Amino acid sequence: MNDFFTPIFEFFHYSSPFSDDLYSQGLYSILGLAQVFGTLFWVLTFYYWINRPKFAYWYHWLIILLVNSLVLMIASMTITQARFSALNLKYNTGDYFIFGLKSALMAASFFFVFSMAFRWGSTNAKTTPYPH
Amino acid sequence: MAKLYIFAIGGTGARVIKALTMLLACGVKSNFKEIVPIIIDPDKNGADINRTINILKEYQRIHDGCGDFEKNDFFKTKITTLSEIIASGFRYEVDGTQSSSFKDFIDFGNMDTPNRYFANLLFSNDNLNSNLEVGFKGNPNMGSVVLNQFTRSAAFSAFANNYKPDDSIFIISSIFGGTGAAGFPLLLKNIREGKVVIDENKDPKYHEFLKNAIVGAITVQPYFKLGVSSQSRIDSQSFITKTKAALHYYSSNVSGNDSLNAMYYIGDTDTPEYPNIEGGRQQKNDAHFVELASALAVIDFGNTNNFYSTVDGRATNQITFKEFGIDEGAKTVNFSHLNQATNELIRSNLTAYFYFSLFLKDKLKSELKRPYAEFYTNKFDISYLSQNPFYLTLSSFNKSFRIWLGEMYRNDEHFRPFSIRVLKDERTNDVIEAEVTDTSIFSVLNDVKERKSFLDRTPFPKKNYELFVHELNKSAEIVGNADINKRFMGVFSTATQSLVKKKLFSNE
Repeated sequence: MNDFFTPIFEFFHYSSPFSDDLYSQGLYSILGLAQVFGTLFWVLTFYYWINRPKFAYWYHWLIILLVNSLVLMIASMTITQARFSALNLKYNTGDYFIFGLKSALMAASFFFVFSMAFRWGSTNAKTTPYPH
Repeated sequence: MAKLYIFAIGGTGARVIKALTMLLACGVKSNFKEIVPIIIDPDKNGADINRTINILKEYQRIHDGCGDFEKNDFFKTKITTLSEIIASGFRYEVDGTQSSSFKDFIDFGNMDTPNRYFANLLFSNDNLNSNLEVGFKGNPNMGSVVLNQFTRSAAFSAFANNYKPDDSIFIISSIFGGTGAAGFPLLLKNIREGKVVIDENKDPKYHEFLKNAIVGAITVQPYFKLGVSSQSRIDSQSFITKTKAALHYYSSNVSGNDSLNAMYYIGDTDTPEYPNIEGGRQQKNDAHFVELASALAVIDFGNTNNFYSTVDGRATNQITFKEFGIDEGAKTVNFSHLNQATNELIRSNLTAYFYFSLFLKDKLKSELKRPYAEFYTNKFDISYLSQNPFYLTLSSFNKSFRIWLGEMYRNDEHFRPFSIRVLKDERTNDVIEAEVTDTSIFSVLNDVKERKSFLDRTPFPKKNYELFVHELNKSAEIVGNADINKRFMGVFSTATQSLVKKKLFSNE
């Protein structure tokens, strides 16, 4: 699992030794699963649970995308920092923040991909974020 | 079931046909595969008749675009014309009534003296000098002479030739005027003879199927009165007297001799007063609930005519007499006053079509960026709304539908199932539009409460027009890709029926 998610994460962000430590600690698998299931949760919420005409414009979709990115950014930073601190690996706040931002970008990409996959089944948002 | 030929005689006949057309547009099932209305009225400029003819033509165009689509319930019944004989549409033009007086029609000038005296005995000077272009002005004695030629016309002959054993006939007429009161017994007599004479020098042609046709009729008793006018010779004070005389005649010559299989009576004691205009463009009466109820007689006849039979030109079933009643007498009638059978027939359909009409008028333009409109191959976009002939015809028909509701709303005997505001032309006083004032479409029905379900207590309940759009999106998934007009009608028909069922009448 770690090997599966590593190239995806490192496509968005690679800086040595931060990324190497993430790999060696197996954090990519945890963070990758969080990205997939977290994003899936928000996409399904938007397209199937909320699923209402009044909340189906592109800017509503964008709000949910940003919320998802923010949540996963915070989650990535928090999980990584907790693990590295426990292992006494010292990185400054900027490193975590940059990694968090890249994770947010990755979450946005997942959100877009999942949106394209799941929007067809939605009754009221099948044309969101853009028309068919 | 096959065709139903409807003879609509006079102005009342035309107005009942209008009400029937509206009901069929809403999806009320007629039980007939095809309906052929034939309006018989010499008043070719009559505003009511022309309004009805326009509505019928629009109905036809809309039906042609979507009637055979199984996922659409609106405009299902086919309405056709005897096109080969009534080229202009639905009205049979009575020969010899154009720009001529009754005197000319009967060739009074060439009569010998004894015949002139006899004609003077039967017809007053007013009768003789009367211009036939606007009808018979409440004089059945004139009507019976003029309309007698219908049964000797090419139109009647073509009708007889087209008539098939499974077909049926329904006759709509008023009993208190001139055209209907004269035309109904005359027409019935000729149908029962099954004989068509076009040329006096040739043998008549006999039509056994026609003679043994299942025939129903509604005779409309007084339901309005006319003001006093020096410009008009019609006196509504005589309506009741004429009705009594005609009923007496009918008792032996119509209902009393087994000519009819089913006879419907309707009338109203609480009568509105209309302007007294003899005919022509000015003769335009507001739609009335009695006309809607009369149209229901046609529907009822369709549902029951399997029980009737005719042998040798006589009904073998005991003639069925029917009247229309409402559960509760009231000046203002809404759905709660109608009995269950009537409600089951019209309530859901009328409401669904009313919602459809409202959405198209008020919301469609701003709701085009929705899946139901833009997700499918044939998109409903601004060019569809502004250029598609089908949509433009539908818009025009829907406006007539709202005006029809508006007229019944403001008529003295109010039919007010919906809480609407009626807009009128200040100069002519004609109803020009009806609109809703309530913010929620589910509270515009008088005496009907919106149904709440557990979904209304969820964190994201869909209300009002949002629920409407949701139902449209859902219906679009059910309808799928189809020809654009069929898809349009299918989506709206399915969505509005579903809305009505969910929010108003769950068990219909």
